[in-house]
Amino acid sequence: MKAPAANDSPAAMPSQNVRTVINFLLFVHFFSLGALLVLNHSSSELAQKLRRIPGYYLQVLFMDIDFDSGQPFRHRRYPMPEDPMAERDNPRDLPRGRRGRYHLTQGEVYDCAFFVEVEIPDPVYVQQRGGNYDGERRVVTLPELDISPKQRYLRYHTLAWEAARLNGQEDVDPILLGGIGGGVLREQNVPRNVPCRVRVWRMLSRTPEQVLHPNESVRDKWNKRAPAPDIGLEGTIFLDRNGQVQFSRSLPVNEVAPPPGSVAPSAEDAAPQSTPAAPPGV
Amino acid sequence: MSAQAQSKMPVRAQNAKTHGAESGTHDAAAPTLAAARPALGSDLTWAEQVGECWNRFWFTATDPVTLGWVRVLTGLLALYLQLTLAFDLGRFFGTEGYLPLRTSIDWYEWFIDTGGEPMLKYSYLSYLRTPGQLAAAHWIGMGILALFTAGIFTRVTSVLSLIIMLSYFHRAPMITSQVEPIIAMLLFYLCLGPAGAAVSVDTWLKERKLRADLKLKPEEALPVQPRWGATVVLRLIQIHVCAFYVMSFLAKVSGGGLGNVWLRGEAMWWVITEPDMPLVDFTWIARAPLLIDVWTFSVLLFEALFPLLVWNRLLRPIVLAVSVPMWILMALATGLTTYAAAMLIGSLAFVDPACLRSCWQCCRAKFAKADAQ
Repeated sequence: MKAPAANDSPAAMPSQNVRTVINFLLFVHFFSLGALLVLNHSSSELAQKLRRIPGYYLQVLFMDIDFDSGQPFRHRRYPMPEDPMAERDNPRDLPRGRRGRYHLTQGEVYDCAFFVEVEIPDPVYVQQRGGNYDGERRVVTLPELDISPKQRYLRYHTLAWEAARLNGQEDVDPILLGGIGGGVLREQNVPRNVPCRVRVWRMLSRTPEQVLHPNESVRDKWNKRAPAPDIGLEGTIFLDRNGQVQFSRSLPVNEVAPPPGSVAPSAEDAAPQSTPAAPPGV
Repeated sequence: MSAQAQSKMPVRAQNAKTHGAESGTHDAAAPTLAAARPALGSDLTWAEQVGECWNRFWFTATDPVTLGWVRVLTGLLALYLQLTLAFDLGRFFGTEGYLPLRTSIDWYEWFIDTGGEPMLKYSYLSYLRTPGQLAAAHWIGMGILALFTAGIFTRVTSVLSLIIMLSYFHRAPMITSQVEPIIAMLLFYLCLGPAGAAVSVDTWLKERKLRADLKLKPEEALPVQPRWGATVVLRLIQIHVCAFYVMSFLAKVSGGGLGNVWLRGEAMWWVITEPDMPLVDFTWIARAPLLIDVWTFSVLLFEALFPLLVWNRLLRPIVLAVSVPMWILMALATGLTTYAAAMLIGSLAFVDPACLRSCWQCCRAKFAKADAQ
């Protein structure tokens, strides 16, 4: 830094009063940040309260970032998993891991690519069948693999990651998956009361043995030697007669009760399709 | 009064005398204790020395050119983020999209005790209903960001830029990644200081008028106007960037799971074999496992040492120079280009203004020469 220029108003130091005010504001600001960051892993009552006091101020400025998850702090008490190993092995329990972003990876269940898939009736096939929504379906995958630039891909990637994390919570309604699925149905003009499968799956990183196969590179993203997709969550979704999204977790399509007055698909039409769609390019 | 005579006065009396002399002009220069009594350095109490250091650290005026470049690059990055968002406005923010307002409210209510409504009220996107309104607001926002980047009405456009970016972040935090908190941090601090005092259209117009008034030749340089406000903002950015490094390091070393992959030296392998994110194929590194260890521990070491060494004048250029290839490699390996760019922009706050000023003057001279030809 340069030395101060004497007797030059903007260059000279501010007056004592101004400095006092700025110092006070600096203290408040850094105390808020410090409380949030230093007490990141603490679960004590005092730490929770200390973190919550400046939490609102930092939330407004989008500075209340949990460096583990990369998402805003969850200010509620967070129960610790009973068995971290079982959690790792069971995708349904993934969200408790809360591992995410600034550490880039920990080699855990969340440190992989997540995708959301919605199976919708193929409009061409439906037209051929005279409006019958039975049978042939096509899969809408988010993020789309050919999306560019990378920043767009990253947003969908993050959304799918968050959907997976959120939907692993048994006690939480599938907030994001319902929103994403409903959006896809509306975007693709899928008629109301037509049940569709929606799922989150993950693609794990590969081992050196898998990568070192001849004529294979990381750019062959979906090559057959990559691990098979691992279904994290599956459910059925449809738009009711009011256009509202109805979601049922992990239930076969024919078990979803449509709202009264709606035209329910026959059991044959609504046969469950639990087999995950193959990743593109496989 | 001679310096020797001054040195015999009690410190508090000296201070009062100094302030008395300055009290007539509230906004005038208010020299600090040591500045008023240069011969008294050794007589200062411990607390006063700390105070002096504190004042020097935060309030010594500095050339705002560094702040100007941080503004330009932050603005460009924010513009890029907004441009990429333009493709998916309806999907992310439309009433019929993937994240309608109800979904965001539910997400907030589950995630944060404060509920969904309060935070969403801070986003003007929550009040836009039609695709036309969304598109209009988005492009107006991009226009304001462009003005901020160029340094036009910077005092106003810096605040508006912060509001614009925060509106998007608050409306859909579930699509934000590592870069958004850094952008929010940079924009917030840039609002507080004279971000448009250098490398801006505002300054260019001001200088042109001044040159015309003083009848200066184009090759004659105007004196640099250091600002204490620039120092405060740069210090805030510097400290916050260091906090990012510290927390990134802690997040890496505190991981659990099947043992910490960072401490085991495997982490970069997991990163480069992500099936979807890497920009460049680094998997050839599997043939030299030692390189994986070296890369992993280098990242850890860099993140641990940056916040310590960057404050040392001698080591700072080395640390900053190392950070460039480190973040470029990281961007190629992880695909997180904007995150790497944001960290580099934050690190720019540590660069000596004199260095940037000379580069800037050199560029301007070349432009002027090209214009003349």
